[in-house]
Amino acid sequence: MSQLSFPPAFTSLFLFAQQTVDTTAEAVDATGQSVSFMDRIQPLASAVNSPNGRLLLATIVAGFGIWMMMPGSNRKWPKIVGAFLAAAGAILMFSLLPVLGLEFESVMFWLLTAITLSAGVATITSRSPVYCAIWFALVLLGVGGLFLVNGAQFVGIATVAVYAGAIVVTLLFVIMLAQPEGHSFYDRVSWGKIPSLLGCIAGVGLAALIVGAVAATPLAELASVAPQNNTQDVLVEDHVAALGGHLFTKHLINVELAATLLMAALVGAVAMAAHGSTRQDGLGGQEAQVSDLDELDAAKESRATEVAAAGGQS
Amino acid sequence: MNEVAMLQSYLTIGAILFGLGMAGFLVRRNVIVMFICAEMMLQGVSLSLIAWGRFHNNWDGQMFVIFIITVAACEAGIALVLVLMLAQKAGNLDIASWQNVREEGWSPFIDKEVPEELDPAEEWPSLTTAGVKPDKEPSRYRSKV
Repeated sequence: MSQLSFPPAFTSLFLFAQQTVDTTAEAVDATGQSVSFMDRIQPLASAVNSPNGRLLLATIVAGFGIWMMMPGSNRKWPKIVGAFLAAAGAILMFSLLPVLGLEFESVMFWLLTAITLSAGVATITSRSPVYCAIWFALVLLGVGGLFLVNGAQFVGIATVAVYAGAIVVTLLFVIMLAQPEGHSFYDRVSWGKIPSLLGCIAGVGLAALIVGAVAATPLAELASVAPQNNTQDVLVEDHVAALGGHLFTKHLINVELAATLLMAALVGAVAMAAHGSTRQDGLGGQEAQVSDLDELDAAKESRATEVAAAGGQS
Repeated sequence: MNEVAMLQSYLTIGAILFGLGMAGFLVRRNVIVMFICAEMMLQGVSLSLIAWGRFHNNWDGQMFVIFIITVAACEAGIALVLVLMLAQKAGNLDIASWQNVREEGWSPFIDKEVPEELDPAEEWPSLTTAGVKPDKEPSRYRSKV
């Protein structure tokens, strides 16, 4: 993992951008005003041919496409144009990688990839937070399926159960409690057009940098330097038994730590909820208690006088 | 299937999910949507870890993901309580309501234009009234909890 070459990919990306800009400027200078269409797309064609240029193009195209789909950034073009641009960017990124064969496993893989990534784009571009949560549930189902394809059965099922089953439902409850009126203005705007475009390009650009580093790293050599005395086998027949054995022998302390963390989070959440709700109506907590006590004292006194009066009568 | 090609594809999907989550976190303003985006970034990391574990034939990738799920559950509980508290105090879920905790010397962010609501308010179907008209004072029957 340490052999992933991030800084070279980074610098070469910018070198390439500079180069492309330079060639474009030269073309304009050489022929004066009239630059033919082929001359114009020449740098584009060379950009598509080299991996770094392809990544840069993918970053710009996909970032712009996602920005077009974001709520409030654009109302001239329909969202489907942005979706096409984002898909083109994803295809450009995947075109750097070796092609998987057409076996059953890889067909499943591509299907799940398409579902996961399109649902991911829909998650961040949906206007209503309820739709965001539901698209996120679809992302989780896709990721769970990808775990299954990769032989991590327990983790796949746990992701679907814990995330899609518990966290997304809790999210929907919180949306119901905190925003019961549905659509609101801050779901329709962002931090202005230019900052949101920069944010989209930054996110996609980070992905493109990682993809470039992955595509440029000779991973086949990594496989040959794997430790030879590795007796583990993640594709063993009884998967859950082996996983549990590994979890409760090598990682027992981590399990205990995780249990402590869960307990602390539970107590913390309850404490925050209780504290927040007493402080909610101004500085009322103390005063409310005092007035309650006063009422209680008054009630006791009146009760005592009643009893005394009743005793006096009898 | 080629193991190296598989690893590269999984790392790519993980990177793209992470980048999408980051873009959403930077661009969206609803606190809950920002939280969802952070969870999506965790999913991208989980995919990469599983792929590395399969590649190296090592269980530790899956161990990492199990602990990520645990920590994400804790995080979800605490973050959602915080979101509820913020929503109760500010009256909405806009993260820009809390910009008075920004860095000193920065000018406040003010919306230049707010696009109008395009979707009309949805009208849900309602049942026709039937039977006895309920009591005018429903608080008598309501639970006091």
